[in-house]
Amino acid sequence: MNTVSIGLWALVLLQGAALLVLAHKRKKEQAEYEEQGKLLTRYAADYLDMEKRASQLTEVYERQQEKAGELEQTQQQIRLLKHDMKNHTLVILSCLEAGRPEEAKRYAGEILDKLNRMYTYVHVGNSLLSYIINSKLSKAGELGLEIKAEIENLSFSYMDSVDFSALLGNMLDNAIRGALHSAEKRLEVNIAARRGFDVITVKNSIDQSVLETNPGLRTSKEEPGHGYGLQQIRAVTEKYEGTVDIYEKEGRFVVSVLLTD
Amino acid sequence: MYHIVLCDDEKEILEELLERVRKCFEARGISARYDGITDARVLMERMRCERIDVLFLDIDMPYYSGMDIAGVLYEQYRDTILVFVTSHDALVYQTFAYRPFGFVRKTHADEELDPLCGRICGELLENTRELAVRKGQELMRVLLKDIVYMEAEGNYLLLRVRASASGDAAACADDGEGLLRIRETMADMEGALSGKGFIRCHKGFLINAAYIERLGSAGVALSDGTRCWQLPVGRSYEKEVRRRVMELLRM
Repeated sequence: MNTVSIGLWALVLLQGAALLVLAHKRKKEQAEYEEQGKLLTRYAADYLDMEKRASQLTEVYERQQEKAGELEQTQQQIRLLKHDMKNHTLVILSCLEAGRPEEAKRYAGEILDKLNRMYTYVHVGNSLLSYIINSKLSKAGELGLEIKAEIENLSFSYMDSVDFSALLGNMLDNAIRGALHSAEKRLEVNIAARRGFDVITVKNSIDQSVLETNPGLRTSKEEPGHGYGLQQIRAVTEKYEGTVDIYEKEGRFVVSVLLTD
Repeated sequence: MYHIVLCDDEKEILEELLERVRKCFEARGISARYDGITDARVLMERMRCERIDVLFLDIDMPYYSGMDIAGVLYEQYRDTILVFVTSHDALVYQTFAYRPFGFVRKTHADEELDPLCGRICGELLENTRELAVRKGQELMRVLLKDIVYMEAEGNYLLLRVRASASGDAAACADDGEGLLRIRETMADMEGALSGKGFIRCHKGFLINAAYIERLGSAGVALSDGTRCWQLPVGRSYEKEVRRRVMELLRM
């Protein structure tokens, strides 16, 4: 009886000890598990961060590639131009040598016309501003528009890049479209700080008053005009508590935006 | 008689442009003396000793660039109407503080010169507008462009005259600070000057729009190049002032 009870007690104790060991082990496991969970969360966060960074870098890289591409294109254009100029000069020379000055004159005139359609790029400190101006104006030049631009190096640092490009991009797109529909095909851009305002003014030639024939400046499908994008111009300007001024002067349709820091 | 000057280092271009400019102004009945200068150093010298009303200035020149000269003009000879002449389609300014009146491209002088000269003539005429005011027993003439702003003071008006004013205005400004006290009411004066570049910005102030330096939430800042004044904008005038400044910025 005694030995049995001792044996039983021993068994109970043993079992208790085993349970304790087991509990301890489980606790340890749980702690480890939690630790692992924490680690995992951190890895996941790190991964997300890295992914974000990677996508940012990709974006930067793509932009740089784009710029490099543009540069390459410009260089290519210069090479072509040099080559062309050589040929043109030879043609003019041969006309003159053959005693046909009229032909040389006409030929030179044609080249001048062509050259006038090529756009000289602007470079200001604000790279976004430069980029938008250069890309839009080259496009306008390719479309055969006559361009005049005066640009001051302003930072527009109080605006988000997205808003700024939407604003300037839409202003230029509208004016390019408007100018293409006119006989004179002229586009003028002026960006300057005046009287305490940062003023962006974009003008395009018109054959007849837009404000008289379409005072609401609505776009019609047949004749896409200034209504398109104007809403966005207004929205961005409003966001920065600026003013949009739309008027016509000397055969030009003018959209001017006044902004302040 | 106005003094109109062209400065370009290329003699042939200079002479051709000078002839065109002369035609544009003569067609508008402006009598002027014309000078063509090929050396920027000579121009700098002439600016010092002669009054120049209109200056057509090439940007790319040896010794001094057009921008350098524009800087000096802005600092010291702000009355000169400045026009840049260039062979570029696009101009880039580090700062627009020089405020050129316009810019003409040599390749497009045919179409651009004439309308610009029209605008210049308007400006020249604007600059000679006078206001006859009574001071005590005397009747005197003050150039509108010499008045920076007017302030009401009971039955009197205080005229703030700019630092570089000449003639009657300078001679009669009483206190050495360029203040002229005349017997006139604000309402009458506002009526007399309507459409002549003056804006009522406050019950007690009538300002010359040409001197507005900055319009902001703190009011309106005026400057004649030497001194600055911060004036209030009355709540009921706010909208109108903003509209007028917007018009002023049209180009």
